[in-house]
Amino acid sequence: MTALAGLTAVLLGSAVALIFFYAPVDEDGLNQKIFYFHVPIALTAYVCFGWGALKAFLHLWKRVPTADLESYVAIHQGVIFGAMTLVTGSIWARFRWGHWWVWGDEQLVLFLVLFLFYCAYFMLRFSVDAGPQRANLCAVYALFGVVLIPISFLAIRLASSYIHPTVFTSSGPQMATSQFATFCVAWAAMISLAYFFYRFELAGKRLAADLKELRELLA
Amino acid sequence: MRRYATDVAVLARKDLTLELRARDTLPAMLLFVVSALVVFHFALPKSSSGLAAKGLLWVAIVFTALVGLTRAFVPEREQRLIDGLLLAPCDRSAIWLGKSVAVLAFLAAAEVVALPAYAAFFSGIGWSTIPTSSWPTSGSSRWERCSLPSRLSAARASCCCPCSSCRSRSRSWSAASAPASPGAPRATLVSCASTTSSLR
Repeated sequence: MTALAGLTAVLLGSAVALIFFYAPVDEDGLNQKIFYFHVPIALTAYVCFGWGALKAFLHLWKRVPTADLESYVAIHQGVIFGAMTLVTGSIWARFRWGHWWVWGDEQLVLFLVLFLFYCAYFMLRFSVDAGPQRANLCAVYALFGVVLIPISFLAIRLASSYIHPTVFTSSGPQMATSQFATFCVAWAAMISLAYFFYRFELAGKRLAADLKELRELLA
Repeated sequence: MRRYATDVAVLARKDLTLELRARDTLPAMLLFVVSALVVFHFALPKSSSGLAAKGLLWVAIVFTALVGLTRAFVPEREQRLIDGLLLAPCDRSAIWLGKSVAVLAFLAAAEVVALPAYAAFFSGIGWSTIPTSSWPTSGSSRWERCSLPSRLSAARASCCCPCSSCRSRSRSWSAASAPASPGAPRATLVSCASTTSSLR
């Protein structure tokens, strides 16, 4: 865990340094640099939701005992990173294009719907008492939500008029090598951060569960 | 008067502390208000005015307040703490006011998220929108105070004590629905306890 924290700190520090000192300033100006935060955070949110759905699938199919808690924690991280995606995207849109939010863009709306879907996951989880039924319900819900991820990926490609800029087209990344390198480091940093939070929260929840069990034994 | 204010503050602080630990009402209200604003965008026609959107903001806030209010008495009802509350040596209206203050705090926290979301999703909000949006907020909490006596009497009628004398006395209370003196519930429960002990 300490090694993971150290790795995360190193990656994040180097990502920030690269973003601000190495990556060239684009023609849009300094606000383009938020791209290096926004896109990795969005992709990390997708990865977290996908990981949560994978754990949910493992819970339903193989009945792995730890999979339910891991699915919950992964989706929690996904919701946190999803909220950050929406915030950074809005800030970027405000300074680049002058609006905080635009409803005509399917990518934005679909991501918002995905985010709200997984927020409702927590409402579902807290409304049912702990037990196998809650685990099954939440696993099914997480699997339903993961279907939205490829849809939101495809929406930006299939839409004829879009506002959300596409940088990664079928002919490769439309940016300079230095920008791509910075982007990759930033993405690695965000994935590492998400994984660190995931492991940290899992450890905390397991500790709390052990403590509760001990208290019940003592009582 | 000062004692009354202290009672209200203590009761409101209890609800806020419980919410801070359990965190079940406020996330539900936040999710509801953001989802309602998203749905309202798709509900409004393209050519609708900003006034229609502001009206729908009012609707969203009122229903968010209702979400908070319906959950306000859930812990008391679940764990039968309403008896403990009624036994507290404070004026009954202090319980009402404490609950109102707590739900108002939740609603204010929900509005901290709702107003920027509204500004992003619809037209921008100016400084004039914030005091005007406090009007449905305070109205909702006043609404809650009106429904509170019926809630208290309903909770008292379904009290855990099975003896018939208790039930008949609680029915007469709900008929009166006035803030009874704190001495009355204590006397009733003592007589209840003596009846049940004699039954054993």
